[in-house]
Amino acid sequence: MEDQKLVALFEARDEDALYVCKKEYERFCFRIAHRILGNREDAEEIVNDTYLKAWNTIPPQKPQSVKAYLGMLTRQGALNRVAHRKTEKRGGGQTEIALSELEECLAGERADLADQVLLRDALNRFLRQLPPRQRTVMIQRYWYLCSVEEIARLCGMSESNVKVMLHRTRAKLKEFLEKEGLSV
Amino acid sequence: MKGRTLLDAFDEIDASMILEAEPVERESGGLKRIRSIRKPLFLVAAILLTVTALSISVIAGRTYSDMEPYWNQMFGPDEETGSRNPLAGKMTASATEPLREEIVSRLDEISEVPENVVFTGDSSDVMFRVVGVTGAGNAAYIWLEVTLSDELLAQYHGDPGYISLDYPKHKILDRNTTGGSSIRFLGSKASLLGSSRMTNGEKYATEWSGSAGENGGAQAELVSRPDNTYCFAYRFQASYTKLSGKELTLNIPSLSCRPSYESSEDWAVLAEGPWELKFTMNFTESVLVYHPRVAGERYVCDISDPSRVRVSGGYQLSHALTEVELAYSTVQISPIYLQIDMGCRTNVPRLVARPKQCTLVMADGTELEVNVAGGGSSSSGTSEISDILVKFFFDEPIDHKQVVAVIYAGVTFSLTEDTLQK
Repeated sequence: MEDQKLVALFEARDEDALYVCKKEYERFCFRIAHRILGNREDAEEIVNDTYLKAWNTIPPQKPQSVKAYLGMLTRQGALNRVAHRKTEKRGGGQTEIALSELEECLAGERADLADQVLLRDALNRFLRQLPPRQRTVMIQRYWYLCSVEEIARLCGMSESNVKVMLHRTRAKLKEFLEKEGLSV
Repeated sequence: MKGRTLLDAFDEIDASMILEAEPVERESGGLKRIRSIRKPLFLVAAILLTVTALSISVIAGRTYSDMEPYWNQMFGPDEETGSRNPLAGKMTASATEPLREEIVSRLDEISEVPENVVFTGDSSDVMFRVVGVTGAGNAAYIWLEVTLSDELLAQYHGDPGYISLDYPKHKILDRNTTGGSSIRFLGSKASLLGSSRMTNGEKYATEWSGSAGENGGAQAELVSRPDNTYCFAYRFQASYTKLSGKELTLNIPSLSCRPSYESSEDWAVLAEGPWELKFTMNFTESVLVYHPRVAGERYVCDISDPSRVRVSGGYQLSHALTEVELAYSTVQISPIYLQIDMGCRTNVPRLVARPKQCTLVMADGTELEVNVAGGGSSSSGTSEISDILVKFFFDEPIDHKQVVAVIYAGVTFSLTEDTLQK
């Protein structure tokens, strides 16, 4: 089903919207949650929460891609679960490792809402300017929270190449954010 | 935490980039080669499986003759058709004149009934009929009833059992619902598929909803009653063409009846058979639309239950709503449903929940309570105003012309001749 029609179902408060989401995007969302949490039951719970969040946020949200929106909600939910229950170890440590890797890119604490908006915009611009392969690796690592081993397999690269690529891209990101005044 | 801040910022990257980078396992060249070699093997396996399945279905057919003594015990042999499945023959029979008279007289009681009402099938044990068809513009509401004797259950089977609504030359919807029932639109067919069952006296209610597809939508509301009557209003709506004048065919290929005292694991099929109902949608405009006497007239009311409200960022809070301003824009009423569109201004940014009940005041002074079956809200120009739509489906068709007022959220909306949209 096209995204516009699916969003229209949500806006009409038609519960079929939830059914379509479950049918078409459950596996996608489950993989995201499971990768972060490393636990099937928790992942299923998060995915169910995702549908509810989508129901409660569309409208006013009107996502251009429902799939990506659901993925984002799933990711947020799973990350919050990790933070809340301090179950990083259960998630194979990927979340914790990814967090520590990104620590180096931001020197200061950016809690201000305005700064968060700027950071989001800057990150989008940064990712868009990357070569496609580099962008894919970054997003797989820090959006989907894939392990280095998984990315290497998915992209047909060696693990060391993935590590090097991530390291260099993070360095570029740090530089980019500094130029944007976001790494004070 | 800095890392978390940045990780959170990844949340809001462009959807296109997220989808482009989706981690999907790709086949290696070697695997592709192996698959290409396997393809002919898959074909051979598929053919073998098909042949096997056909053989099994032939063998399974013998079950009917095995059950013949049981059917005869329950119903006696079918003299007209000689069918081993006596009820099946009756199910496919055309409508009998007494039944037609009964239904027409009943319909006369509820409203101005168009001549598009078609029904078929009757037996002493099962009655299935279209009680009413109503609609306006491009929407049809078909009110169906299945009445069973005390000892029987009705069950729609799964594949290939379904109810289909043929809608010639139109068009593609495809969906399934959760919970073992589904509505499927494929090609020119709209199918309502279910496995719901009920026992005598059992209170049972569920709701089936259809999704809007490219060219239309469908929705069914299902309720049961203590008298073992199974009812649903089936709403069919086409977005780009009018149904008026079209002939529709409602098919139920495998309505089956089983004794209710057996466990579900060991149900014997007492009877099953196809049903076909043809009718032309030459309905008249039977939905009445009312506007406020004074455009934009506002009513102030309280919504006593703490209601969920949405604030910026999508968060929800509970909030007691007092001095809510409601302004109705339209009230639509048909024999099947009531729909209220209104604007709502509150002291909170956004109203999510709505009162769930509504009262209809009839011309003779009686009142009818109805519960909300659907609805939604959408934001309008300012954050404090929500456009709200609530929809109520009635348990049974009503004479909508006899409704003189609607009471919702403590506000009475008069349905009078001068507020009727001409």
